[in-house]
Parts: sequence; structure tokens; C-alpha cells
Amino acid sequence: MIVSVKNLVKRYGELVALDHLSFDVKEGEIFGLLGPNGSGKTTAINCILSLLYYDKGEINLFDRPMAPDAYDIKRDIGIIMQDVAVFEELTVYENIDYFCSLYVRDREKRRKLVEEAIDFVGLNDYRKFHPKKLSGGLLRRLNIACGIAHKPRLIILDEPTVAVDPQSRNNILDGIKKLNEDGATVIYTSHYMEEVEQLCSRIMIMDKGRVIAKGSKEELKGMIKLGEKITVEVFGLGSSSLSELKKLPNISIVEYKDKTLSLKYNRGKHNLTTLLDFFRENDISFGRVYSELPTLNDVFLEITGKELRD
Amino acid sequence: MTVFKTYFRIIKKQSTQLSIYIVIFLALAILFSFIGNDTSAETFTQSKAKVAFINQGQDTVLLQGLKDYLGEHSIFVELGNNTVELQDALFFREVEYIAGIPADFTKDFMSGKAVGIDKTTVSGSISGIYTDILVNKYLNTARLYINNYKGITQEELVKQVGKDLAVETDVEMKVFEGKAEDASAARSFYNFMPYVLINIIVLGVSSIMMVFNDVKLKRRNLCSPLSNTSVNMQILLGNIVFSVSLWALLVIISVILYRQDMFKMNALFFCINSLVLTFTILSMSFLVGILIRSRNAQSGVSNILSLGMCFLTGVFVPQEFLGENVLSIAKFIPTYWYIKANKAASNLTNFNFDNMGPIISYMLIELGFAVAITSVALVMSKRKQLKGV
Amino acid sequence: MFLNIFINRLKCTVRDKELVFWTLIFPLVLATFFNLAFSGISKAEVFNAVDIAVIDNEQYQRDNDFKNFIEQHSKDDPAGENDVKLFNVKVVSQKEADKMLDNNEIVGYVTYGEPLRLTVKDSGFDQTIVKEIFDQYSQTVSSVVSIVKQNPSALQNGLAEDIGKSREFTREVRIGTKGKPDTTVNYFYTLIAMSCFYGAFFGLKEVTDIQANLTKRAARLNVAPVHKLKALSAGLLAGIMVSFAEILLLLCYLIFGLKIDFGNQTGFIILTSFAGCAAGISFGALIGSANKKGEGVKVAILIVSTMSASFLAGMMFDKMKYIVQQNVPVLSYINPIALITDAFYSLYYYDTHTRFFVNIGLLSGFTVLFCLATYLRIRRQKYDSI
Repeated sequence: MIVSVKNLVKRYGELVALDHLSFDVKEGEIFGLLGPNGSGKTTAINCILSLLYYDKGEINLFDRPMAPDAYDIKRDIGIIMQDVAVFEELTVYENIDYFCSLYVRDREKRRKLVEEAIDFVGLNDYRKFHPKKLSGGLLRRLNIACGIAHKPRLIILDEPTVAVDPQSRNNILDGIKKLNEDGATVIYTSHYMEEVEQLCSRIMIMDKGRVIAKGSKEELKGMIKLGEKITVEVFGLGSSSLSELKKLPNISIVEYKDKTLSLKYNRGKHNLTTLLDFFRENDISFGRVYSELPTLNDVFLEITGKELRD
Repeated sequence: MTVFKTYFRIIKKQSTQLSIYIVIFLALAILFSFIGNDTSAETFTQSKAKVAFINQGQDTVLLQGLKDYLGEHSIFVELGNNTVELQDALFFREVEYIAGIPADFTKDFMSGKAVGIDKTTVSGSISGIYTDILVNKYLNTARLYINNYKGITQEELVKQVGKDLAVETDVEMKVFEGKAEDASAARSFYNFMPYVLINIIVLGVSSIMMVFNDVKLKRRNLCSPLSNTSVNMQILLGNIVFSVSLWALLVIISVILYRQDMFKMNALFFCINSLVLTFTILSMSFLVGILIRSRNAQSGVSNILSLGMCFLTGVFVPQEFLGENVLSIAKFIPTYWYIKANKAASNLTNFNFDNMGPIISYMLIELGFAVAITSVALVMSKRKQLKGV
Repeated sequence: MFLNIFINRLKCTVRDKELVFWTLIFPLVLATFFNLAFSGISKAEVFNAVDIAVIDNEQYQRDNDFKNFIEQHSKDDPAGENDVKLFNVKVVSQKEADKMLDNNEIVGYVTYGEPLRLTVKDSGFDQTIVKEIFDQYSQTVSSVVSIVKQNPSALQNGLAEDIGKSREFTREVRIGTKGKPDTTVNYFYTLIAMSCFYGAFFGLKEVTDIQANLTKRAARLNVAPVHKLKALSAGLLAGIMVSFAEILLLLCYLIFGLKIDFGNQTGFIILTSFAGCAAGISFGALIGSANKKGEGVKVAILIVSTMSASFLAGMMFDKMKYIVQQNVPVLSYINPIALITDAFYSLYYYDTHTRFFVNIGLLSGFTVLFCLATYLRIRRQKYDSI
């Protein structure tokens, strides 16, 4: 196990920031920590890194207990913080080199690693620049390069895409995938479900310091009743047809408003075909039809009763 | 008046920093004004110097006479004659004036030979300097007798010199109508005021200017239905209100601190003079605000400006002590004229035009600086605008 | 590893423009201002002739000796012994003199009589000088009268000439071997002390960059496999090197550029500078580690404490140092800036080193104390909150 957290409790005075949090991260996976702002993701990361005191619990990294002076463990970790954490006074190259030097002593080896990191994030044209001169997206890339230059086995990314333009975001996500393909285990926190869904092989959803659900995205979606959402543009639908609709198999909620019919299905097959057959049989004319599979937002919504994003 | 209101919102943001400055400066200014009072000549003759006699020879009548004479102005301290003890005594100010008397001093002196006393003083001690004057006076008078009154005995000499030195000039203090008490405490407060004014006004005004001169903000302002003139006038009004309130605050504090001084005509001139200077400094700050871009530069500039202007023009060190070449540079700095005007105002006793003329002309020079600096600032700001910034 | 961190910290420190401004440029500029302002003071003070008036009455017109005396003191006489002109004298009527006094055209007027009468409206330096000179005149007259009574021939035998030839009977000597005392050096010594304590910014910077609850950069360092104290000592070493180099530069400027006298004990002078830097940096480190308050507040604390300590050590007013020493001696022993200033002064002024070592000892004591307190604050490696 790369990371193993058991019954982690962290209090800020009265507030319970982490409430008996337990999870494992396996070698080679991209583990997503999803949750709204303030759900305790960053606190959990900081506890794992031994930056914070915690009240209770056990944290093992690479099957060894984590401590502030567990340098052999720290050597294998790369961390990318939510905020850009670089030195204003140093150039792009010097910044990466400095942070790399904390891990890698050998000068030659380090030079190679720094070059690779610069290449990896595509900052080749900016190596002599000071951070002040970089745009937001480039700054994020520098931030990432500083965290991964020493080729860590475990990379922890804490909301690396907050306030990043879509192009840079894709760039970053592709990079993370590539790092993972090269053999690194990744912990990725975010409150953007699309990112997590797109990127992560296993996901843990948090709210108010507690684990709500964890598993692969399919597993997560399997946890909820919602199977499919179908939206149809319908012109003129009588109340009798509406009550007929409700009798269709698997259907859970039917809403009709402004010529738009929304149907929520429980898990089941051939829902769309059945619906279209129903329209044909009842001679109901309809326009556009959309079918959506449930998202992680729906998972969150169903479990907590609120939207993931504020 | 939205811009005007925003102005004070920005100032409010800076209020902690500004009030720290105000408190420190006030503490310094008040201290300065009390210290300034203390070193005036009144204490010159009053404070008693701690004097040590290190006599290498015998006690003689002459030396006793000298001691008796000094006794009115000094406290004698017994010290052993070794370097460490003497240096320590000087260091801790247990003694301010050490007179080392050579072994054969009295004999040589009585026979008219050129002899001297070795003195060591605590540097800068006024009572030490005064003691030195007394010693020389005593010995010079004695020398006169020895040279011209052959065969005078020590006893006779001491008696005569003592009698002579007791003669003093009568001093009459003339009190003129409406004057007399000196306003020196208030004057040193006002003398120190430029330091406070420069620091705070430069900081405050340049903060505002930097905000409003910010390119993006400026464009946004230009796009709004508010005319540029109106925006500028409101900023100007804000600047004036800010500076004048600071000035008023300081004046109120001076009234509280120096009640007896502040209800005199002299004080009226102090107030007017400092108000004029406030406008000069305001114009300066306006220029600084146009020239600098970063907050880091801001405190550097305000410190260098305030310290430079104050050191070179007599705010910290009295103008009388400044060298000729420094003073010739100082003439190009408004605070020089401010200090001059203050000095003239504090000496005022009657208010005819002859007396007030110089004060008014000094203040006009300060205003001249204000006008000149403002014009430069306006040219600069136009030029910046033309450059598309 | 240590070397890497050290070199990087060196780069960060030297490239921090604001830091370099306050720790190097500012003291240099201030030293220049001091020099311009005080260059006049240590030179022989130029005496400006005092404006006085003498009441024109019969007695005055009759006494030629007095007239001569007045004249002698109101002209430049480079050849004579009293080469300085003391007075600008106007001989006027009583009424006119009053008017002139009222208008500040003169500081006082003298009415001839037995004794002389000096009329002033203020007491001050000029008035004291005038009184002193006329006192001297009356006293000399008294002496002459006495002498002539005893030795009537004296007047013919050079008494009159003798009167003019007053001489200095005292000569300034040093106890020990040091140069001439000079109050203005104290200003420059406090300036160095202040610069040493501006070095506190280096200490503050180093701690800020190592405490994970202060900056994110530091958090990054905290998750790296580096011992925190190792990183901190590398940083502090870099800080003290830069600070020390800056102080040496300032010293060179003061000694060679402005010709300020520091005595000639080079080794001890450098030792003092180093002790000062160390104290300054450890002080900054302590402030930095003190709490989670914002950096702005800490900078303000640093500036305010440095400025007030400099003030008490006599940077704005040289006698302040003595006022403190006399009234609240404890304050001069716990004020590190006063200690640095004093160490320089004792090197310059005293033969013995007792005083010097007391200063350096106390200063090092404070440094150790600051370091210890800092260590206690930052040795924990986890935080309650970040």
C-alpha cells in the first residue's frame, strides 16, 4: 500500500475537520479526493505529510509510519500545493533546481532531472524568467515542475487547477496522466468532478471531514439509485399521458415544464427505447431528446442532499 | 463625490500604518521639544560640573583658591590617578572635567613661567566647557597680578583674584509689551514637524496616486461617465483634505501640549508657516506619486526624502551648526525656509511690518516651491498620459 | 545539500531589492546625510558676531579705555591674539536702543556705569556671551585698579599690553592614548548599530521561509527530506554573510569615504560588527518565529523596535545615550543597539577593554538568548493549523 490512513481525527477547537477518516491508496493508481470547499481535503493531505498535528489516527506511507523526520519516506514524495509556492527572487530554472536539490544531492543527476522537468511542463522558453513575469497558467506549471522534478513515487496534487484557464488545465491533466503512466502513484484533490471523473482510477468523496463514498467511478455511480436522466422537448402533453408516463418501468421522477419533459430513471435497460415507443404509441410529437448518465455530482447530491458545487 | 469617498476608503486601509507613524513621530517630536528646551543657555550656568583634581604635587594656597572659586559651579570628585579608574569615571559620567595639575605647577606659575593644566572632559558636556572657561579666567587674572605686581604672595594673590572675579555686570531683563516668555518648546515642536508631515503626506498621497494611476483602473475611470477633470478635482480635494486634517491634528496637539506658548502671536505664525509648508509637501508628494510605481519604493522614497530634507536644512541639527556648503544646498529645499521663518517668528516681539517682512517672504518662497513642484508634476503626468500609460 | 540550500538562500537574499535597499543603501545614504549635517559641528564652531548697542552717555564718552575695549572687540583683527570679532556695536541713545531691542535688531544694550548694566529681553547663548565678556572687562578693571594701587608704575611697564594677552592655561589631553573626543562619532556608531539590526530582516526572511505555517514555500521545504534546523542554519548563515558584508561595506565607506574615526583596533572593530550582525539576525529570527501574525506586522515591530532602540542609543540626539545611562542604566544594558554603539565607542575612546568586553559579552548573551528562544519556537515540526 502506498498510503494507508486509519481513523484520522483532526479538530480545530470545536470544529471537527477530519472525522475518523480512513482510506488506502494503491501503487500505480490515480486516487481522487473529491469534495466541496472546506470538506477537509487539504487538511487530510497536510496530515498525511505530517505538517499538522492530528488528534487521533494512524498514517503509513510506503508501509512505514509517517513522521516529520521520516526523511526516507519524504524523499519519495512530491507535493504540489494549492497555492503557487516558489521564490520570487529565483528564476524558473533556479527554483526547480532548488527544490530538486532538497531531494537529489548529485549535481549531474539533478541537472538532468531539472531539464526533464522543464521539458515536461513546457517551460523551456521561460527558464531565465522570474516568477513575477509569468502568467497564471505558466506559474502553475512551474509550481508543478518544482514538485515533481525529483521523480517521486508518490505525487500529491492539491487542487492544482484552481483558477487555471482551460488550455493550461488540459495540459496539466495530460501531464498527470503521463506521470502516472511513468509509474508514479498520484493523489489528486479537486472540487471539479469532471476532472476527477476524467482522470482518476479511484475516487473518494468527502464532505464535512467524513468519507461519503469511495470506489471507481462506476462503483460510485452504482451506489446510487439514479441510472439515467432523459430530457425531451415535447409539444402538448396532456395530464393523462403524464400519469401514463409515470407507470413506465424504472422511472422515478417525472417533471413537465415549459415544453420540456425531464425523466429520472432508476437503474435499468432500454429506457430510451421504451420511452420513444411510448411517444409513438400515444402519437405524441417531440423534438430533441437527450440522455445523460449520472455524474459524480448526482452521486454527491443523492448522498448528501446538496450540490457538490456551490 | 464617489471618487472623493473612495479616496478616504483607501486612506482608511492605510490607517494602521499611518497612525503608527503619527504616534512614533509625535513621541519623537515631543521628546525633541523638551530636550531642545533643556539645552538652552539657562542651564549653561546653573548645572554643576563634576570636577576632579589630580594633583601631582602639593596642595597650595593658589590651587585652593582656584578650587574655592570653582566650588560655586562644581562638585569635586575624588579619583585615584590611574588610567582605568579615570576612563571609567569619565565613561560613567562620574566626572566631567579632570584637571591634571603638574607637580611644580604652583612654583612655576608663581615665577611667571609658561605652565598649563592638563584637562580631560567628557565630550560635549556643557558644564565641562564652562568649567574650562572659569579655570582660564582665574589663572589669567592671577597671571596679571604676578606679572605686574612683583613679589605678591599666594595668599594675597588669591584674595585679590577672588575679589576681582566677584565683580559682575548687572543684567536687566526688559519686558516689552506682550512679549517675553519664550516659545521655544513650541518652536522645537514646530521645527520638528516637517519630518512628520513629509513622511505621512508622502505615504498617504502617493498610496492614493498609485491606486488611481494604475493603468487598468485609470482606463476604467476614463470609460465612466465621470469627466476626467472631475475625477482629478476630487482626488485633489481629497489630497488637500487629508493633508490639512493632518496639519490640524498636529496643531491641536501642539495647543494641548504647549498651552502657554500657543496663545501668542508667534504661535499664529508657526501655524500659518506650517500650513504653507503642508501645501509644499503636498505638491512634493503629488510628484512622488506620479514618479513611483511600487509600494516597496514608496517607503524608501518617503524615508530618504524626509531624512534628507530634515538633516540638510536644520530640522534635526540647528542651522547654525551646518557647514556653509551644506547651507548653500539647503537653500534649494523648502524646509530650509520653513525653519528660518520659524526662527524669525519665535523672535518676534512686536508685529510691525519691518519685523514680519522676512517671515512673510520666507513663506512666499515655500509657496514658490509648491507652485514650481506642482507645475513639474503636471507636466510629468501629461507626458505619462501622452505615452498612453 | 547544506551548500545547495546555502547558495540558494544567498541568491534569494542578494536579489531581494527591498532588503538590500534597507540594509545597505539606506544606511549609506543616512551616513552621507549625517556627514553633511555634522561636518560643521566638530569643526571649531564659527562664531557669529553679536549685535549689541551701547548707550551714548557722558560717562561712556569720557572713558576711553572702555571705548577702546568695545572697539577692539568689534573689528576683525587677524593679526592680534583675539582675532575673532565678537560684537557689532552701535552707539545710540537710550530710546533708540529700546526700540532696537524691541525689534530684535540687537540682543541687548550696555549702559555704562559702576557696575555696567546689560539690558536684554531674553536669556540665551548670545546674551550669556555678552555678559561674560563685559564681566571680564569689569573684572580686569578691578584687577588693574588693585595692581596700580600696589605698583603705580605698572601701567608704564606693559600692564595695558598684558591685559590684552589672555592665554589658555588648559590643554586637552587624553587619559590614555586615544584620539581627540568627538561627539559626532556616536551618530555614526549608532548608524552602524542600526544597520546591524536592520539585518534582522534577514533573520525574519529565513524563518518565514522555513515555517510551514507562514509560507507555502516553507511547507514545501517541510515535506522535503531535509532537517528543518539544517535548512534554517544554512539560511541564517547566508543571511549573516550578506549582512556582515554589507556592514563591512558601510564601515569602509565611513572610514575611508567619510573619514570617521574608529580608532585603529581593526580586529576588534570587525568583531563588533560581526557580533552586531549576529545579534540583529537572531533578533529577526525570533520575531519571525514569534507568532502567526502577518509579515507586515512583524516588519512594523522590527522597524519600530529598531528605531526606538536607536533613538535611545543616541542616533537622533547624541546626549540621549548619556541621559539613559544616568537615569535608567538598565535600559542601556538591555538595548542591543546601545551595546553595539558603546562597543565602538569604547574602542575609540578607552585604552582598557573592560567596557568593550562587557558590551560584546552582553551582546553575545542576547544573541544566544534570541537563538535559543527561536529554536524553542520552531523546533516543533508539526503545526496546529497552516
